[in-house]
Amino acid sequence: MSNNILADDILNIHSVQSFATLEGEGIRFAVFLQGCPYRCVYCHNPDTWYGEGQGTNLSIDDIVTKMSHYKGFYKNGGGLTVTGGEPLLQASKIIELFRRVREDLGLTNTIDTSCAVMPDCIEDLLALTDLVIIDLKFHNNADYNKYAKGTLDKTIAMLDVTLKMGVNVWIRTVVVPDINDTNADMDKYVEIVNRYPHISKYELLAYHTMGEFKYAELNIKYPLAGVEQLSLSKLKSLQKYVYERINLK
Amino acid sequence: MKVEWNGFKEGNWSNKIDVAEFIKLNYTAYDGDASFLAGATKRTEKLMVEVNRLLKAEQDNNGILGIDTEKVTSILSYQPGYIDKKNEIIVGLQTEAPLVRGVNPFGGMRMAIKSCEGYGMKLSENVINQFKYRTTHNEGVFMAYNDTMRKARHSSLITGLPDAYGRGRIIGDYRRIALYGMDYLIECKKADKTEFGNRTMTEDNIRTVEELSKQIGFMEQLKTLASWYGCDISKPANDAVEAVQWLYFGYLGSVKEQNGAANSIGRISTFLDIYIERDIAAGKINESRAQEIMDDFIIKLRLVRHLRTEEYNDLFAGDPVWVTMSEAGCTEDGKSLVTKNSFRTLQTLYNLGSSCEPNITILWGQSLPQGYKDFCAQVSIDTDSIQYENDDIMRSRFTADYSIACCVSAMGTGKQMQFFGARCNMAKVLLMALNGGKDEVYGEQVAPLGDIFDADGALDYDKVMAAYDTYSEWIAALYVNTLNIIHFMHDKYAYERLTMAFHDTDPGRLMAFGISGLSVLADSLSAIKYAKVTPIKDERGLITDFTIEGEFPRFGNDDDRVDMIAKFITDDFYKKLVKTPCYRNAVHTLSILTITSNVVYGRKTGNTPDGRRAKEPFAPGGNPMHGRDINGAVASLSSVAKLDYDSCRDGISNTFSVTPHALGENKTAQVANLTSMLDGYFAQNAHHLNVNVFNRELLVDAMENPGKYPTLTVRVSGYAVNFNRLTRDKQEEVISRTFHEAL
Repeated sequence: MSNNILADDILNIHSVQSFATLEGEGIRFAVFLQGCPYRCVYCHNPDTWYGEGQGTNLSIDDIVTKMSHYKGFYKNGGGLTVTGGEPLLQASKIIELFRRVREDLGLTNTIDTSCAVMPDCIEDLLALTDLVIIDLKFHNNADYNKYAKGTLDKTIAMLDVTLKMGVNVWIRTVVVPDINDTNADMDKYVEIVNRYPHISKYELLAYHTMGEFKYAELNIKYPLAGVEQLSLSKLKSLQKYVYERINLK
Repeated sequence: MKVEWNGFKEGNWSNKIDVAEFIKLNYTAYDGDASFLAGATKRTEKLMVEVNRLLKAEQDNNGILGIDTEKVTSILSYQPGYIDKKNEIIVGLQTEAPLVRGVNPFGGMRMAIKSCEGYGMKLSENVINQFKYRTTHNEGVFMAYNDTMRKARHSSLITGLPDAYGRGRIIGDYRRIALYGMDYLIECKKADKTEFGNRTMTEDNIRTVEELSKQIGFMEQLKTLASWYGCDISKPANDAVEAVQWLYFGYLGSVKEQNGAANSIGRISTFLDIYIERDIAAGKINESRAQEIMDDFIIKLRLVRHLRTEEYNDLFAGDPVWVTMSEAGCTEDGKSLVTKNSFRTLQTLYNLGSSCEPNITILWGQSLPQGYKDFCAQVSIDTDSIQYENDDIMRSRFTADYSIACCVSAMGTGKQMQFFGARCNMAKVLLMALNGGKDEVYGEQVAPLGDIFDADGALDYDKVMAAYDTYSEWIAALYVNTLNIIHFMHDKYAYERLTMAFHDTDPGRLMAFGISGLSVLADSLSAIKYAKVTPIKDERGLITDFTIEGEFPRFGNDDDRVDMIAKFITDDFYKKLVKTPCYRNAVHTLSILTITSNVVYGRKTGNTPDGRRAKEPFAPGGNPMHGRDINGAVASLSSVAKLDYDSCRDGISNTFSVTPHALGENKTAQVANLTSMLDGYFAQNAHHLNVNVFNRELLVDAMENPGKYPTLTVRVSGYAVNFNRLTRDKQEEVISRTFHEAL
């Protein structure tokens, strides 16, 4: 599943964002990697799905050089976040990138993952990782399969290995009207999160339609056509419900 | 030691004018947080009801509450005026009633008449007759302009020149009045006059002696003005209220006498803190009273107005006065100058509501206390009313006790003054280079005749650069010569007698040139270099459009291929300016600052090789073009930070808009990220940043429903404006700027 065509020090990326504040602690340099095996119905980045032949190349050197130029911005807990797409598709390359960010720049590393793949080198990678943001999409395998072409098991496996490696974890769930927006759904999510003592943050995100235009551009049918965005009041009430029940680190 | 100085530590300042040393020896640094601050008192709230009523009436009346058309403004033209006499702590208005504007024909009678007519009023015959036999600054300038200067002005190659309005950007050191009293200051000027009067009477020396005479006369008038308000400013201030009041009289006299484009008040909060601390220690006042004094003072500064023409308002939109008040920064040995009063000035934005004036300018240093940095960031997020400039690069170049005039212009307080020079349209210089010196809009031969580039193939970068070199060299010399005329005539016919009285005699002089359209020019040259740009000629045979094939790097993405072009443009133009000497041996400086003239310049400039269409606005100041900085804020800021401050010592303005969501998920994170961002930007030796934190939708809504947002303040280019006071085209330009967003 890796990008075999590219050299070891070249990442296949969609884009970079030099000022990211929602993808981990502080101000971060976010690298959006190209390619994802999941097909989430609410995905707002369908332009990151396909790996080979898509995206642009960026070398590890280029990223480290840029980030060293921006170090002053990132010094208060900030650093690098790899996201996507599914960054773990290029995990072996990220190890070297993370090593240089931590050792050469003294900045922090974050992985923002859907857990769609479990690379063999995961423990080596996590040893260099300060935070993993895990996208906990659904609370059972059936929904995972139906709405994302994925499995819950892989997400659980990631929770297990991050616990074993002692890495800080944030969890995020996108709430979509009529798919996972009931209190009963929340109970299930809370049950999973409460099983793990190393989770320091759980966030509910409202489904939005801002990515819909990209489907039109790519000539792909939008799976959630006609589904309303989740209202802010609904999100707030679910958040309240969850925070009353959840135990975080 | 003077009795008013009881409790102050003496030094050289006790024997000669040296406010900077007085501050260093006597201020109390504060490194805590904002928790000590006090809210508005009942009195302040009551006064603000009346102030807000007046401001609303002004806005409802086409932006002007009244004009005193019967008098010519000067220090003693008007009897004392008040907002609510018994409730005011600091007194003094420009005219006899708040927000009523005086008429100042010294810059030009035609402008004064037009300004009144613009608001449906008529200047009295009496005033017009007074100036019948007097040359104004405007008349003087046009007597000396040559044909080329007139053409360059007409084609908007150089625009906004202070040849028909007061130049401003001169900051009196009004602190001197509080510390020394007027009698001592007058005595010093008289001693200088005697000394200069005994020198060889060269033209320069005669002018200096004449200026000293004018200064002394107006200093006496200022004492009279104060006495009308029941104050004796001949002696130093006794306490905090007097210190603020004495200082304010100096500023008030200045804005009564002259209507310069920017009337900045200097760096005063830490100076005033010394008086406040002394009163608090003596048990005379408490924190609430200290805040109340500052609140009342700031109310006065918010009411300063000048009468302007329509053309002026088009260039400098939103009725700005630039009562720029600089604060914080460090001493030359790197110690923070933040005091509790640095917080109190910011607190006025909560106690009195957000406002564009005074133009609060934070002199940011890496080593300022975190509590203060965080409070600044919080105020930015809440009010969008303040701006930031890099003390770490300025204090070594202007001495530590400098102030900011207007937006980004640093000068040693009371030690240096500036000859303001508006700006040159660099995008048009390129188009003129391609068109052999002809203006692409009017078709007129403005610059020396050259070859028009061929349209039968792609433009050759080296050939374009050679032509640009020739024409930028030509405009640089013309620009310096034009400003020399303007400031010669300004000194001759509209000398700022009172403002200059609060400067050292024979101060250092800076001549401030400016460029607009930097990112348009940089991207245009990048397109010619990296893509294939083919000119298209119109029926006149002039190049008026381009086809662009292929990709090219754009300024604002931290890409050296184009960022180095932008840096070259500024370094190169500065070198070219320096070749022509300035009037009065002024030192050349250059700014990348447009105010809101980026809209006007754009309107007067044809299609450019970067793909920008004719009439489209330029980006403001040093900003990348709207929407072309696509790698996020840090990359965008890093591109601007590459411009060398040593070529642009009059400032490099950058205006930054970010949505609250993109800045962080909650207020705590937003404050932390904004302070990190400012630290990061200024650590790259960048110079200036305006910070706006809001959503584009808010501005769109405000454009359609202005009544919902009476105090919406927006940072534009080195200053802030009330959004409602911008014209539609300028509102649209602000909305079209890059907003750093997050999904």
